[in-house]
Amino acid sequence: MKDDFLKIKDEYLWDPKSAAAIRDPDITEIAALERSLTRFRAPGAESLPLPEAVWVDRGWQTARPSTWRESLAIAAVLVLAVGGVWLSLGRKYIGDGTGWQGARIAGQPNVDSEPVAAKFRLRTGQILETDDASRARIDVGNIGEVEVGTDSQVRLLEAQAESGSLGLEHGTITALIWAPPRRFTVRMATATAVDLGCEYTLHVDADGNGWMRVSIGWVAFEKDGQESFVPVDAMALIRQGARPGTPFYEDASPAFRSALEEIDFGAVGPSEVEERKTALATLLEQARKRDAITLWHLLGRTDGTELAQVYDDLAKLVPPPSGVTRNGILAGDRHMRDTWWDALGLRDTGWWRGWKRDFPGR
Amino acid sequence: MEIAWASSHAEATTTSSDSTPVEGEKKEDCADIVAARSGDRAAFGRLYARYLPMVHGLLLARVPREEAEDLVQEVFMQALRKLSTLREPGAIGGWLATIARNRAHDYFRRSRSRVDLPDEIPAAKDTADTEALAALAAIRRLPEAYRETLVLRLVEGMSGPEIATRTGLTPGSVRVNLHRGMAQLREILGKE
Repeated sequence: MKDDFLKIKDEYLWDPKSAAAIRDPDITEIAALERSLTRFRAPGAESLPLPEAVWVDRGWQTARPSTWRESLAIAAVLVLAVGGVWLSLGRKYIGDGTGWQGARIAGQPNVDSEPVAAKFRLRTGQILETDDASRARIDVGNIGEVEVGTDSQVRLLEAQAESGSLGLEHGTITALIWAPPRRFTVRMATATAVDLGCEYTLHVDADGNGWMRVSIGWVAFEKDGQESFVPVDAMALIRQGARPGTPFYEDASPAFRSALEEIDFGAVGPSEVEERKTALATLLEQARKRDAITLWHLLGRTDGTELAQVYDDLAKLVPPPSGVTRNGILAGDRHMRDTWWDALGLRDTGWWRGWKRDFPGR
Repeated sequence: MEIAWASSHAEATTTSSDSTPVEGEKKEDCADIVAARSGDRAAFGRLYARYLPMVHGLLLARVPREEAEDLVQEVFMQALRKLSTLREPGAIGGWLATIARNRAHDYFRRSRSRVDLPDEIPAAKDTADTEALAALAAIRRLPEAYRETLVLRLVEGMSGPEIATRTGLTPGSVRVNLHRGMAQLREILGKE
C-alpha cells in the first residue's frame, strides 16, 4: 500500500497533469509547495524583455562601419576560433575546398567504386555510392550532415567548412543543416534544392523522378529562374525534364494532389485542355486555407483565364492586402505577389529574398 | 488518376502528422536558431521566451533571487553572441544550461564571497512569504542536481518531461532527481 502511495506521489511529481485528479495527502502537500513557490517564478518574456543594447551590439538595429583595427582584431579572433574548432574536433576534417569527412552507417558504401573504411574522406568530384544494404553519412563541413540512403549515388561538388554543394545522381539523401540559409545546395538534373534551414529529404530515382519533403524549416527549389519555397510538412515533386513541382502540404486531399500533379506535369496540347481545366477546378474546389501556399505559387505558373481563376480563389482564402490588385497580379506584378505572400502568415518575403542579397552568387 | 509517387513513397507522406511535442519543439528551435544566426530578432525572441523559465530556474537555484532576472538577461546576451558556435540545434537547452551555470559561477567569483542563500528569509513580508522563502532556502541546500530539477518543477512549474526536453537531461535522470530531491527536501522541511 505504501508503495502505491509512493508511486502516485512520484507520478504527480513527474507530471502533475497525469494525476491531477488524485487527491492524496502527499500530493496536496506538494501542490501547496508549488503554489507557495510560484511567487519566485520567472516573469514572462514580455515583462523581462532583452535590453535594446543586445540588438545594437549585434548590429541588428544599427550598423556601424568597423575600423581597420576592429577588422584586424575580428580576423585574429576568427583565425583563433577556427583553429580552436579544428583542435576541439580532434582534427576532424571540416572542409578546405578539397573534401569533407564521411562515415559508414551500414553495409559497404563505395567512393569511386572503392570500398570505404568506417571513416573516410570524400574529395570534391568523387562519387559516394551505396547499394541496397548500405548507407553513409557525410559531414557538411561544420554546418550540418547528410545521410545518404540505400541505392544512392552522390557526387561532392563543392566542400568548404561553412558552405558546399552535392550532386544527387539518384537515390535518397536527408540533409540536416544548421547554417544560415543558402549555404548548402543539392543539385539535380531537374533543379537545385537550396537549404534555407534545417532538415529535408530528397529522393530521385534512376529516371530522374522523385520528391522533396521538408521536415524542419524551409527549402527553396530553383530552376531557370523559377523559385519554389517549400515549408515544413510540405513537399514538391520532381519530374525528369520538367520544372520543379509546385509545393503542397502533405495533408492536402488526394484529389488536390492529383489535380496539382496534372497541372504541373500533365501533357500540354489541344487534346489535354479539358483535362487541365478539370484539374484546376478540382484543385481550387479542394483548396483549404492552408493550401494558399500552393495557390500563391500557381500565380507565377499560370496565365490568362487560369491565372484569373487562381487569383479569385486565393483571394477567398487569403484576402489580398492593401496595394495588391487583381489587374496587377494578372499583369504579373512580382512586387504584388510578394506582398500577398507576406499575408499568408508564413515567413515574409524579405526573409528569403534577403539571403540572396547577403550571399550573392551562391 | 492514381498518384504515381504516393504508393512508392508512402513513408514520406504518412509521418508528418505523427510528430510528438518534443519533435515539434526541436523543429521550432532549429528553424529559429538558423534564422536568429542570420539576424532575425523575432526568431531569437521566440527562443528567449521558450527557454526563459529554464534559465531563470537554473539561476534561481544558485544565486540570490533578486539577481536572477539580471543574470537571465546576461545569459541570453552571451548566448546571442555565441550562437554561431552552437553546432547542434537540438542541443540548445543543454548549451543554455551550461551558460547559465557558468554565469552563476562567475557571479560568485566576481562578488568574491559566497552569499549564504538561506539568509534571505528575514526579507519576508508576511507568513506566506516567510514559508515560501524557507522552502526555497531548503531547496537550495540540496545537492546541485536535485536543487536544479526541483526548482524547475516546483517554482517554474515545468513537468518532468519538459525539464528533460529543455535541459537535455535524460528523462530517467530527471525522474531520479525529482524523487530523491523531494525525499531530501521533506527531511529538511520536517526538521525545521
